[in-house]
Amino acid sequence: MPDWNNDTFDDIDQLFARLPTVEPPASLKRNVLSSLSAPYIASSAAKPAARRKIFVQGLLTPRGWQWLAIMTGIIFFAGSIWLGSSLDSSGFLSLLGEISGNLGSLGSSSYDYGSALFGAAPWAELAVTLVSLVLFMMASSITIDVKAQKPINFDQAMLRKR
Amino acid sequence: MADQPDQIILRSLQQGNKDAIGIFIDRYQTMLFNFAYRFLNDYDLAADVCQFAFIQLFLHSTELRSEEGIKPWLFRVVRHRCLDEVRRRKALPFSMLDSANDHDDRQLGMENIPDSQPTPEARIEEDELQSVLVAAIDALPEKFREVVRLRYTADLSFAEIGKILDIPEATAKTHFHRAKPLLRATLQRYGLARSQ
Repeated sequence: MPDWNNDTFDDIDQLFARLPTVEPPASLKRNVLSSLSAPYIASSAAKPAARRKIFVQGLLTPRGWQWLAIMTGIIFFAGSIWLGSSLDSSGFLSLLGEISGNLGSLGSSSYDYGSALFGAAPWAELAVTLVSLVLFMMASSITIDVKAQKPINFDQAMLRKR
Repeated sequence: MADQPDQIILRSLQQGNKDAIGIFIDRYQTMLFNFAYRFLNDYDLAADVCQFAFIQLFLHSTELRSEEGIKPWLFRVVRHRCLDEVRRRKALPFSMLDSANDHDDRQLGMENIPDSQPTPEARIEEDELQSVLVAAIDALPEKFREVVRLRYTADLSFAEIGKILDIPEATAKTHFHRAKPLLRATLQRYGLARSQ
């Protein structure tokens, strides 16, 4: 009960005190307890790895993960084309061709070749492509995972069954 | 175990005792449900939200610190879920809102409130009063609304309200007392409150 002794119980409080207490449905407890027996819930509660998975999945809604997968897939596709073009225009590919044609001198000139490759590599394009690839793989994996799971019966239509 | 404090029951739950969640349900379902019901004005949705909260408690029990308090934690979960539902409703196309409002009786939960009124006229009067009171809370500015709703629908102390809303207890009290004149003004229009 509220600490009415520390407040003046006025006419407004009296009015709101007339708000009746509504009893929750009798099935509420039953539904919760039966949900806890669902394999997904039970295993999720038991295993820290599964709970971490729930945490990651919970960062976005299932639809959010789908959209992230689509967007990162598009970015990865575009990034790959961009990366390929940059590898060619920066001379990285021709440098690789030169190295593969002079494998004999690789041992003595490895430092020179390494620094040349490092200087020629299109790092920004590479980073964008790799990051989008990783995100795409993560998002599509989670999307497939969520779809494959038996849905927790938060769906109103299911919970209305009494 | 049913009479034990929350911390003891939480520890039992953390050790894998599923019966402990049943005790928390018995202890808090009515107040959580009333809060959610008055928030959403939808009986079934309020039940769904409460079920979600208890399942979340089961899933995250090992992450809870015993000093945090189960009651504020549950109310926070219910409150966030209710806010999500309200935002989701606002995004619904108008035509879907219309169909969602078709079953007014169901939304108001009238069929589930025991008929303790002696006459149908008295019952209509009480139902109208309920609607007016809930509407008066909904008309408040957001920061006042939350405090008033928790105070009147869940019978929580200002200290508990402060924990749920993550505000100082004194702030919760101030918001409540500042909301009173606004509530009074709204209710006076319906002839339900006297002027001061």
